[in-house]
Amino acid sequence: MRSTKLEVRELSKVFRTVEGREILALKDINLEVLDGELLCILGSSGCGKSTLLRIVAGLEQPSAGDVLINGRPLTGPGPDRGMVFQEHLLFPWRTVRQNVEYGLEVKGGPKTARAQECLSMVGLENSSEQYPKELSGGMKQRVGIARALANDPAILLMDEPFASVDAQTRSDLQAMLLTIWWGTRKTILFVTHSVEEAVYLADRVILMGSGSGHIIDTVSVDLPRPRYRVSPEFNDVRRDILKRLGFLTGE
Amino acid sequence: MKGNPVLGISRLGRTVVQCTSVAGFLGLWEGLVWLGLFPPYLLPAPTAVATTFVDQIGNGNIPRLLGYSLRHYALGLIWGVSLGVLLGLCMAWSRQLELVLDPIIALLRPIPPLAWIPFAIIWFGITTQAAAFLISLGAFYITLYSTYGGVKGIDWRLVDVARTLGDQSNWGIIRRIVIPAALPAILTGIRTSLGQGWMTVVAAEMFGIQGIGLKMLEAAGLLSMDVVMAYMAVIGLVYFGIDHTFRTVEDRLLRWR
Repeated sequence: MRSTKLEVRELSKVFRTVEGREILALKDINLEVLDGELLCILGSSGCGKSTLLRIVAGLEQPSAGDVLINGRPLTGPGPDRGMVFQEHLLFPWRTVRQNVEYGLEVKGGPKTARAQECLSMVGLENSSEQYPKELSGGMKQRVGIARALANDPAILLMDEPFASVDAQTRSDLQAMLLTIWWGTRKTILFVTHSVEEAVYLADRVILMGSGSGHIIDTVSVDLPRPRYRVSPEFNDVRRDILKRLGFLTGE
Repeated sequence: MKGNPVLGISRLGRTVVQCTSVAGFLGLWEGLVWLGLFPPYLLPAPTAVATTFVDQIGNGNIPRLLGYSLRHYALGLIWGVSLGVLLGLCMAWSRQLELVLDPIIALLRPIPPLAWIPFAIIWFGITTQAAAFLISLGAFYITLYSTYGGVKGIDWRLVDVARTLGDQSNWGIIRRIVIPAALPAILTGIRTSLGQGWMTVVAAEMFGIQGIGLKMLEAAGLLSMDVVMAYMAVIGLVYFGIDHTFRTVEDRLLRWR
């Protein structure tokens, strides 16, 4: 029996606009993530999925409710949770290696060997002295992943990390992520708006309703890996998820 | 292909034209003086200026006076730039400080540095400190605003990234994110200060402080316009060197862009 790594209890988030209007971004979110689980949070833009991830990262404060990691309440951002962002957000003035070393530099102690190790995991061991401007979009995302891994966080938070690369690069990155996940057994929270991506990656998919800020359903994906995107079983899961999201009402 | 696409000439051809142009200008000038159209006390000939230039180096005047001027310049810049960058950072970082300091600076800023000359003399006397004070004023305002603007304009999402990587202290964020992210703007401010400061050196020294500026004023009093022009050449050459060096340093520091 695997233990619970992360627990979200009765979480709500209200944003206040400049005019003083209140917008409910998240409503009564309850979530349990097991140790080593790859959980996808699926929803269209504006459903609050990124906000949920930012709260777990400690970058936003919830308006109500709790986030527990290993049973302890969250106090803010920390090196136990690594985050990968959609727009890579590399530090442009640092080389690839220096980007990956950032967290190790903050902690103090040796850093170069660990940085090289993480760069090998993402297949960029030969690009360590390049600057971000010299890299392609896919390579930048790889650096972003290596940078998040350097601190050896127990939980990896990924906010639509592959949304802005081309299809071929995206499937390469997805395969790479699964390899890293198998090798490190990290708990991964992966936010996406792509049903296919969720079915390809996840142990379990959390469905969030558009504009409602709450979880409408949870789907376990029991397909063996590696998964084939064109297999009938894969399509069955896709169809099931689309139906639950309310996209296939005509069938 | 390099070169001017409109004129269709090569790089070498362009260099030849540029050299010919400068030579023609100097030749025309020399000719006008030689023909007696201008008396030397109104317009000294280029050859006369060149001879004086060499003489002034030989008798040690240029090295000595340039040394004074560079001392005023360096002291003023160090004070002005350090305080400007420091306060610019603080103002951009703290809303409270911004609220308190902004109106004071807005009030003082429109007064040009040279308008402070009477006070500089009353406070510091005819000294190195007085010249440095005037130079530091210009550098201070320029770097203050460029740093402030640079920090305000950085991508603050990078601060979020740093926090998720475990960087929690303000000082860590300032040192590792804010300063490098704002460095292009800070360096532009410093380069502008280098130009403004060099102008202020000459003007400030004309009020009696030893240096190139005072030497020019004295020479003009004796109608030795060749000496005046030789020092004008010194000013131009030195600034050319300073600006060129700084650009090289800047390109090196910002090669990540």
